Amino acid sequence: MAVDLRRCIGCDACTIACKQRNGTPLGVFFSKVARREVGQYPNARMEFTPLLCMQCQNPACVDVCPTGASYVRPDGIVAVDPDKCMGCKYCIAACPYDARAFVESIGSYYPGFEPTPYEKAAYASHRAGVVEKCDFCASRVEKGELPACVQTCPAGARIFGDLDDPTSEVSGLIAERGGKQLLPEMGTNPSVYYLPA
Amino acid sequence: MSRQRGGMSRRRFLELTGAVVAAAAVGQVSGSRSPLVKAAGSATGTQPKTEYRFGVCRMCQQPYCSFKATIQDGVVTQLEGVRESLLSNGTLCSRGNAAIAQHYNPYRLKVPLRRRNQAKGMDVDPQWEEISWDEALDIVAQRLRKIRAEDPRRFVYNQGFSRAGIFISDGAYVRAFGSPNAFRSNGPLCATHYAPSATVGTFLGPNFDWIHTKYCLNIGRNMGPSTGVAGGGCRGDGGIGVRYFMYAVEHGMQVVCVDPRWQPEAGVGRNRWIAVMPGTELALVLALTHVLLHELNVYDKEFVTWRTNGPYLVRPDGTYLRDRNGKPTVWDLSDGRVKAFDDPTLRTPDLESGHVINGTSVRPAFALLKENVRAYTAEWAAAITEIPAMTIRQLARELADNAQIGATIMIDGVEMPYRPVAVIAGRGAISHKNGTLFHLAAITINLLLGAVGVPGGVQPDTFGPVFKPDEDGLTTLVSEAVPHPFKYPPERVDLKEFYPNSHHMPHLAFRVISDPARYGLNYSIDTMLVYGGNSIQHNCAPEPIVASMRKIPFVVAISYHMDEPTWMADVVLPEDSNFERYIAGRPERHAGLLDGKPVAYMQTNIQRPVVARMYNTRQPDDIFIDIAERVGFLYGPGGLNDVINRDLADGYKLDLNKKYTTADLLDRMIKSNWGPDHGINDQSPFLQKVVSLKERYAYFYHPGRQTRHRLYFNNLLEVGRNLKANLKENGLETVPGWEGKKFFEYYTALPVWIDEPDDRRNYPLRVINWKTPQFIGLVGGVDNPWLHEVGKVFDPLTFGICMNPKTAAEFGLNAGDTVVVESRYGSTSGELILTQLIRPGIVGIAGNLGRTSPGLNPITHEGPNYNRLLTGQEGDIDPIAGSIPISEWVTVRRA
Repeated sequence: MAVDLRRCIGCDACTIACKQRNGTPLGVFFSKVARREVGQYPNARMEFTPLLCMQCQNPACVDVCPTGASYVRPDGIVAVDPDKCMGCKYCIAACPYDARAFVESIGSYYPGFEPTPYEKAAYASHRAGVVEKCDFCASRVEKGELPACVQTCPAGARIFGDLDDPTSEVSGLIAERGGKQLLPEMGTNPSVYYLPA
Repeated sequence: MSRQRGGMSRRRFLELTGAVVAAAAVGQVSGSRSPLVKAAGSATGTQPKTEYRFGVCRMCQQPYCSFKATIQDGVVTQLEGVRESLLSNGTLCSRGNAAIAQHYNPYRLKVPLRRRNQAKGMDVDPQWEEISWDEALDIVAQRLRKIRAEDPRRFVYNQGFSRAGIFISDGAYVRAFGSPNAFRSNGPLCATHYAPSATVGTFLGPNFDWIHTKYCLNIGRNMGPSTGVAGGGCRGDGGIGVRYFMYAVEHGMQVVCVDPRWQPEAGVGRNRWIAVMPGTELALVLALTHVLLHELNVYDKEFVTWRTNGPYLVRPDGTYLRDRNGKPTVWDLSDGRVKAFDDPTLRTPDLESGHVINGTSVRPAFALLKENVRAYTAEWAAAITEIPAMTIRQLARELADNAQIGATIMIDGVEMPYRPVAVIAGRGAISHKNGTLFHLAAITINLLLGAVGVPGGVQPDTFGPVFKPDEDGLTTLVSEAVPHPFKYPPERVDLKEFYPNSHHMPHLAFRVISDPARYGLNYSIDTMLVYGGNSIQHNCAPEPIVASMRKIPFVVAISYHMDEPTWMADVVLPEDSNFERYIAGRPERHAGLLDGKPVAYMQTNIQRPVVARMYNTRQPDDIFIDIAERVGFLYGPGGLNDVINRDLADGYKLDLNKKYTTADLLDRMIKSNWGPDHGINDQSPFLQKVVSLKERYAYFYHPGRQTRHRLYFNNLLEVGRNLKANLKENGLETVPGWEGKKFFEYYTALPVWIDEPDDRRNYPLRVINWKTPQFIGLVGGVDNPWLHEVGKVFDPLTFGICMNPKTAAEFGLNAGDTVVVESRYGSTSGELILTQLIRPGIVGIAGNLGRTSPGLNPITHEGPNYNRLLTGQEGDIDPIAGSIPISEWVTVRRA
């Protein structure tokens, strides 16, 4: 995936598309937009950096996982097997991108009420006491669809494709624009590139 | 070269869904055999547990964006945009993505309610009692029957933006009932409609041309990124979503944002931010005009001469010199004669010189305009706006340099002027006491540069023959530019008789309802119907509104949740959620991207209920019809069916004596616009017709010298004079409430700067407010827990009170302090947030927070309430549009 920082305007459509697609419980975000105010008035501006799991090729989270719950799928997506996760949070500490979330509990967004019909349906795939994360909407991608955040972005700031194919749009953009990985010094080799603003 | 974002092209997407491109073929109308039917229907029937249905998002006030819903065991579990919709290109904004949480909301109203406690107030328990629909409708009908027989004016309908997607308008409803009283809660803080209605023939706009504009001076406007709109929504106009803004920037458009606050638009590409003191934008545009005309001597002479009223001769009293046929005249330099503006022998209209004709001194309107701005120098404006004179001159130079006066462009075989420059204006700059004058002056700059309705310039809200000239040769006045007739005593509670060109004025209507005799009304309101509007929260200081509402003997609210007006109601009728409704919009005409290329198109979105009703709720139009039937104004000549027929084409008009459903009405509306082969049961989420891009430009319909725009507003001048004379005839010196205040000074043919007193010694700061991608108003937002969470967790400037550190230091305040912001009219409090993103001298409060109804989700009560600081009282509002000034003077202190 490539994220075009020239296009991101920090609207959080991706953040909520991810939430509704994945049914993440209260306080859990697989996708979000970091903001940083830079400069002094009158030359100040806000920088927006969309964040999600970088699907690293050398994932620190997998390395530290004591149970093998975190693993790399054959297609390169980093996943978590909830049956193996014991909630030790080592992976959260190891991830330099703050991409993982520990599900403390699964309650309704409406305290004092029963979970809504949506929540009952969506929360069936979540479990309290384990770590969860973005998987590039693997079930959508497997059907030839785009990850929810990519599909919904009003600015067209996310480009999804095959990094191994040098003729793909995403590869071309990274080459053309000088796409950079976040924190390359960590040696994680992310699969998400950021196109400079 | 454009690039298709999202990883795959639209064509590739269609291939994946097994579809072919048909809906978008030029000149064709997609219909019941749209490729999308196959995509949607493939999972229905054979897989009973999972279905896909299309719908229309209503999470903002414009139901434009189509969605595909995934439904599992009857529950909506996913939403995504529909790529084939040219209105939204497959995207949804943050609000659209949160629509599921809006539907599955336990705070929704589930059954009809009757109030048992006759005391009313935000702190009073209404002691709701659940009743049946029959019982509720009978109570309402009995009340309405009585006042309809006695004095139908005593019924008032207060509507708002949540009406989006319904069919029966408030105006049609009260007309059929027999009352003049319908006013809306939306718009008093955003009255941006007079100027376009007077200059470009549309209610909205004009807006930049995202296809061709190369330089855009944006004064106080959301261009898409500020609210993250996907395609429609709080779109300003022109259907401009973020994707179109990005297209423009990537194709070379540079935007200069003039605003007290940095906005995301300023952070893209070569764009930049110039901070202005709010309320002074009029001084800026007057000075820009001065620099263009007096320093640079740059304007599009061909355009001003032949497409504006610049050469029209004006008498000393400000009115046109008309010929014996009543036509405005011009001076023809070619033969030294006065001629009608449309005289076929006219060769060289004079723009500059004065003449004496039959003893009367006259001057061309353009000369008066030029004279009018002579004193408005850059230095003069710098002292008011706090924008350096050098910067003002630079902006004027950039406008002049980018206008490319004289250039042309070929679009689909038609040559048109090419003026890739736009001055656009929005709520932030318009909603001040001088806001209408500012807007007129801003549009005038575009006219001077010849950049109106042509490629690259500003565009009306829709395409078509909107520049149709009137008998004076000028674009026909529409909407709010058509003055409401004077009548005394006034009949309407919103006092249109006293404010003939006003926008919606709920703030004033509630003052009148509270004390009708003071305004000359000889009746009082007995019953108010509230639907889709919130005049308590979406307005100014709420307590007087609550007090006024308390005085109304009977209030019936059709509502989705227990908002503030509903809390004040006597009977509550619960409405369906968006997913439970039939919806069909009227055709939208815009420009969009098809396979990455700009096209012009018209589109109607259609929704049949996405899921079954959860509760004992009903669709609003069905409720309106039921009430009308029970009261006795549904049938027969003049009845609701008859009034509705004005919106329906021949062949689809209603039988005056038959009862229809919402689906029936929408079906006929669709057929009226799209022909007999289409209707509400079309399986496609929209009907779409792509036309040549040349049709997007109003110039195409009235090229060359076939129409003219006003840059001299004699119409406004004359409205003011007529109003003054009419008031005087009835013993009034001025409009009630304006005694000793400047009112008629604003009814001027040329925008002027009018000094007004302020109390900046006690209130040295000005407050500003902005919409955020999560909180743009009341239509899906602060009560939605997903949006609330995202706004609260990730947006550092929301749920607090923002100040520049320099100003905070001057007040001895630190980040994190709980502070109180006070104006002359109210106060609010919150945690202080320091930011470099707003200019010194300002207090900023985002969104529409701090709700007060005890019946709402408690999360809505969080955050400061900006509206409490505002006033809607006479003497302070815009005398023309009637709008509430949005940058009240305030002070701030530690709590």
